[in-house]
Amino acid sequence: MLVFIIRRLLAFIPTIIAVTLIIFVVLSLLPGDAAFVRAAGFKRGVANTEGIEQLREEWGLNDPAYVRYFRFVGGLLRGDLGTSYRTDEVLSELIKERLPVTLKLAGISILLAVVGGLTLGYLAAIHRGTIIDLVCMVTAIVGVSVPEFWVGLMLMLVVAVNWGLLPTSGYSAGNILFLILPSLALGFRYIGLIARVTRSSMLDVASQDYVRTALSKGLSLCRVRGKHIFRNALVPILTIVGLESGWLFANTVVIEEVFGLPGIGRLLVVSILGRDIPAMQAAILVMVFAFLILNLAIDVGYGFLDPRIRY
Amino acid sequence: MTRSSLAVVLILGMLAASFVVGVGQDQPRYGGTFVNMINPSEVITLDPLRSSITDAETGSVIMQVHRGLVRWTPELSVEPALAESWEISEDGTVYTFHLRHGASFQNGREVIAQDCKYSFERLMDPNRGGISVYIFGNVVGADEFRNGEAESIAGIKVVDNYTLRITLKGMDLTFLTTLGEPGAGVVPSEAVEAVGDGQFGRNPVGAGPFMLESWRGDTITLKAFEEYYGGRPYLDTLVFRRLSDYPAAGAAFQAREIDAFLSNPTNYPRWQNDPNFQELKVAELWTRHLGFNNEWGPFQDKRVRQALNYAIDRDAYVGVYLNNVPISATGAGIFPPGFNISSGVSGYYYSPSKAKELLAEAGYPDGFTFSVVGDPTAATWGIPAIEPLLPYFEAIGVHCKLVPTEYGTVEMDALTGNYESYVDSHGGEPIALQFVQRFHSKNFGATNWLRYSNPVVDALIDEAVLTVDDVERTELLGEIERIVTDDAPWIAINFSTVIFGTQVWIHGMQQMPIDLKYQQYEKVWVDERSPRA
Repeated sequence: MLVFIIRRLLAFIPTIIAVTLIIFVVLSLLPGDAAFVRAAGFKRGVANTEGIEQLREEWGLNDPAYVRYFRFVGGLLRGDLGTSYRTDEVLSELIKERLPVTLKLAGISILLAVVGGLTLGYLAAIHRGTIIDLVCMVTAIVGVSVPEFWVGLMLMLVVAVNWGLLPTSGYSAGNILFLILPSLALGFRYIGLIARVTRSSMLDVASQDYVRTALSKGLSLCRVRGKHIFRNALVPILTIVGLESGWLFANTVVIEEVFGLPGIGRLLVVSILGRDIPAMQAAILVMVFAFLILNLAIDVGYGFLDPRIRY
Repeated sequence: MTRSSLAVVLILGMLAASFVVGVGQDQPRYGGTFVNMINPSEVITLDPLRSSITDAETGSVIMQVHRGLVRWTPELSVEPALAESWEISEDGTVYTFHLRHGASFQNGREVIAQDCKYSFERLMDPNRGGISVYIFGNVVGADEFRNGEAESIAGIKVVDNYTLRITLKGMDLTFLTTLGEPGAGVVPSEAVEAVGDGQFGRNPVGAGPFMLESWRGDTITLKAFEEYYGGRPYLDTLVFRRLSDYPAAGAAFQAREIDAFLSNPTNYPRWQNDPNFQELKVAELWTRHLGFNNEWGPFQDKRVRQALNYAIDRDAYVGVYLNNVPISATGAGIFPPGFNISSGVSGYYYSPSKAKELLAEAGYPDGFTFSVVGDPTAATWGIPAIEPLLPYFEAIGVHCKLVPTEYGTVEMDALTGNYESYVDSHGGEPIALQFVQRFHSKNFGATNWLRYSNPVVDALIDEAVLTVDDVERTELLGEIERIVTDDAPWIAINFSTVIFGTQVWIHGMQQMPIDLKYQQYEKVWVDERSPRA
C-alpha cells in the first residue's frame, strides 16, 4: 500500500508538468494585455503608454515564451508563485489566505452531499417502490437539474432574508454560520447524484447471491443491509464522489461569487477579468493539485473498502 | 393621583420621549458602523501610487484614507484639503499652495510641504511604476525627471514647511481639479520606506479621516482617525464589502446587514416605494452611447450617422427598458446635463421618416449592415443596452449585428480602430474641458474612440483650454457642442443617473455627480435605529 501511494505521488509530477504547460499555452492565447488593463488610465486624452511599457518590462512580458515558461516553472520549484499583476500581492500569501475558505466550503459541501445522498439513496433502496422511494428520487432529480446559483439565491432569500436564521452572505473570518447556506447550495446537486448512484448500487448488490445466503442464515435484515449490502455498494459511490468532486471544486467559483466568499474560485474569476496571469496560474494549479490529492485519497479508500482491491 | 392627571402625565411623558427620540434622529451623533458595498470589481490597493482614475472602487476607498492638496466637492469644484489656500499667477503657470498647520498623518507626524514633494515625485518616479502620471505631466522638469536626466522635479518647489510652489509648462485650467484625484494623495516617506512600495498598498498611512484596520478577503474595515484635520469623523467604523451582484446586495440590504447599495434600473421599481429604502439619486457625468467608427464604411458619411440618430426613440427606451431612471438624450447635445452647459443645441428626436430620407440621400436607400462590439454583461451600457434598439434600425432597413466582446478586448479594439461601432458609457471627468477632449483628433488611440476628426472642433477645443474667463469658455464649449452634435459622431442614448439606496438610519450622504462612490464619509452618521449603531 505504501509503495502504491509513493508511486502515485511520483506520478503527480509529470501530471503537474503537463498541466503547467497547458495552462501556460492557453493563457498566452488569451486576448488582452495585463499591463494594459492595469495601467491604461487615460485622462487628458493620453493613453498611458509609458506606464504600460514599464509594467511590461517589470513583469517580463516582452521576453520570449520559453523564457517566461521556465521562469514560471523555476519559481514553482522554489515555492514562489509570483506576484499578482493586479494587486502586487505575493501570490503564495494570497493563496494561503484564500485556500482555507475554498477548502472549508468544498469540505462541508462534500460532507453534506455524502451524508445526504447516502441517506436518501439508502432509504430509497430499502423502500423501493413506495412513496418514500418516489420522494427521494424526485429530490435527486431536482438536485441535478437546478443550477447552483439559483439554489443559493433561493436559500438566501428564504432562510436568510425571510426567516432571518442565517447571514445572507460574506465570510466573517470563517464563522461556520456563514458557510451553511453556501455549502447547501453547492452540495445540493451532488446529493442528487450520490442518492441515485447509492440506490442503484444497493439494489444491484441486494440481488446478489451472497445476500440471499446471509438472509437465509438468519441474519437480521438490518445487519444484512448495513454490513453486506451497503458496504459493498460503496465502491461505485466512492468513484462518483471522486470524479464529481473535481466539478465541485470548479463550481465553488459560482457559489463564492454569489455569497461573496473570498476563496480561490473568486480569485480565479477576478484574475481572468483582470488578465492577471500569475494569479490565474496559481489558482488553477492549486485546484488541479487539490483534485489530484482527493482522487489519490479515494483510490486509497478503495483499498480499505474492498479487500479485493490491493495494490 | 387622579386618573385624569395620570393620563396627562403619561401623555406628556410620551411626548417628551418621542421628542428625545426625534432629536436623536436629527442631531449628528458619534459612533456606529457603516457597511457599504462595492461592486463590481475589487479594491486593488490603498496606495495612491497605483490608483487609476478609471477604477472608481479603488479610488473611493483611497479617498477615505488619503488626502491631497485639494478635494472634489458635490458642486463639481475643488475645496481646500491639505492646502488651506492657494494663488495662481497671472499667466496661469505658477500655483502657490499654503498648507494648513497641524494636519497630521495617521502615524502622528505633521504634514509638511516636503511630504507633498516626496509624494508627487514618487508618483512620477520612472522606477516605481506610478499609474496616474499624467497628473503632473505638465509640470516643469517632469519630463527630465521621468527620463532619468534629473534627480527631482524642478517645477515642484518647497518654499518652506507650509508653502509649496508648482510651476507648469503652460496654462492648464484642469490642473487644480486633477489634483483632487486619488493618485495625488500625500503620503509620509517613512511609512513607505518602512514596508516598501509593494506592501504600502496593504499598509497605508495617509492624512485622511479613516485608517485601515483590517483587509481580509473581500472586506475592508476602516476606523476613524481621531486627529483628522477636519475633526474626527462621526462614524467609528467604515466597512467596504464586496458583493458580486444585485441579488446578494439586495438580500443583504433587506436583511439589514449592509447600510447602502447601488440600485439599478432593473431593480429600482422594486425599491422605489419601499419605506426602508432611502433614495439618493444623482445625475452623473456619463453618456451612454453607441459610438461609430467615423473612419469606417457608411459611417464616414455624416448623413448616415444623423439618420441613425433620428431612427431611435430614446424616450420610449428610457421609459420602458430603463424604468425612467437615466435621463433620455432626446434633443440633447454631447454633454451630460450635470455639466450645466446650455448651448441651446437642438439634438435628435425620433423620426424614422427623416432617417430614411437621409439614408437615401447618402446612397443607402436599402440600408446596410454594421456590427456593434460591447460588454455582454452590462445592462445599461453593454450589448444588452442595444438589443431593444434593433427593431428601430430594422425599420429603416439597417441591420445591426451584435458582437458580445469582453470589455478589455473592446477597449483594445477601440484604441486601434479595429471595429465598426461600439457601445459604452463614457465620462467620469469632473470638468467639461476634459470630457470634450474625446472629440479632438489628436486623441485617436486614447480617449477619442470615435476616430472623429473635425479641424474646426480641434481649434475650438485648443482655444477653450486656454480661456480663463468662465463665461467665454462656456460659450466656446457650447459652440463645440453644436458642431459636434450636428456631426453626430455617435448616438447619445441616455445620461446616467445613479441611485444609491441607504437604510433609514443613515444621514449625511451627499450628491456627488462625479461618482457617488467618492462620498465624503466623514460627514455621514448613523442614528440609534441601526443594528450597528
